[in-house]
Amino acid sequence: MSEDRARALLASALSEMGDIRLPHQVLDQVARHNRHLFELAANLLDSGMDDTQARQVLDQAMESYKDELVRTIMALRGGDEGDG
Amino acid sequence: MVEVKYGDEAGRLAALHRYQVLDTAREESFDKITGLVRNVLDVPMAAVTLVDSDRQWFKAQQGLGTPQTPREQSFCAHTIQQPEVMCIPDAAHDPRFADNGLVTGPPHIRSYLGAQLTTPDGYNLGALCAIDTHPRAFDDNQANILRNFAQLVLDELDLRQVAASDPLTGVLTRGGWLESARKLVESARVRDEPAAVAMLDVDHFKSVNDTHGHRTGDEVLREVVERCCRHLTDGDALGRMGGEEFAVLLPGRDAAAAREVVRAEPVVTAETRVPVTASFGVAPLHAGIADAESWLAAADALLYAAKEAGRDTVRLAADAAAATGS
Repeated sequence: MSEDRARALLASALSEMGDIRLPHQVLDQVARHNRHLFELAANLLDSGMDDTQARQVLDQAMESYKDELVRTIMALRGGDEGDG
Repeated sequence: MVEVKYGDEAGRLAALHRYQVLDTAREESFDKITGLVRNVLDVPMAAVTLVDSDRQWFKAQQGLGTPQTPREQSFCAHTIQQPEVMCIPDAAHDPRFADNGLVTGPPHIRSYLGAQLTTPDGYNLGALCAIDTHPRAFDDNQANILRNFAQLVLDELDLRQVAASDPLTGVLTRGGWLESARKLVESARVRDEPAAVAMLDVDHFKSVNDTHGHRTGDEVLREVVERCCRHLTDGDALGRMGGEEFAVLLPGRDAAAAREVVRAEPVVTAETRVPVTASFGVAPLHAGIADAESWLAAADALLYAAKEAGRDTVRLAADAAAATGS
């Protein structure tokens, strides 16, 4: 039950991040991060948090990763241009 | 599930240094995680702790009031030896910690929960921890939540590794290498220790690509890196500066020792049967070098001199001085 709620919470949080086109170098990392976020959401719900509280925690946890992801993508694009 | 290499302390420390996070500035992203740990687990203290050879250093901490402590006082140094999240319900009654200065004095730790920061290649760099000044038993759910937050810390550090790693060879990018070089310039000067940069360029690499194709060219570069790595030790850092040009940071070694490293083996790729040679420029760190960029430029100038001298050779700073009569 909490797995379904966690999945819905994460899907909703991810959809609000916007559409970021991911380079292949980070696909594994982002997939792993999303798996960890899903597990966190499920554990937060299991601890008795309601959906709103769990969503707030998820949003904060995702915020800094998103900033780092954008910086990484910019750095990778810069590197590609340099090699070309 | 990653298999953790508990017995390999040298490898663990090398991994820790590879992440280039020790002694870096405070960052909002990690403060945010420790803030979440405090709120969600309702504790007064939380920290992202990295366990170095002789200390624990906090990348982020709330409530501890110090940037680092000796390793022998570290709870997290125990956590990194455990397979599961480590829970200490009452440190004052735990024989491992009852006499610990962090328990008997400020910040008066009484209970502790620590989750390992495990790299994808199986090294526990440190721990994310939640600390209280009162005895308390953390439940399994809280342990799982802390483990999830620890995974998020590692996710972020790993993402930085992607940007700092050359996708073809796996060594540092120019930017990542320069960051290491800046730190080495600073630490070598503080400790008054020698250090050198060896820069190498694969000779006639364009003809390798033209004759055998870019795929073979890529294999040659990977082989060059593999052979270089065989001669490197902990603390050395290899980076791809661009194309077929690489630079190696050699802390603790003067120019003569660096020369032995770069001359250790000819660069020949057996798998692709493409014999290649390389030219080297070796520049020791000295008072006239202002920063990492000028150090790299000094090695690059010596590399150019090696190319001019007919390739497949090494040019040291001392050689260059002799050649110009200076």
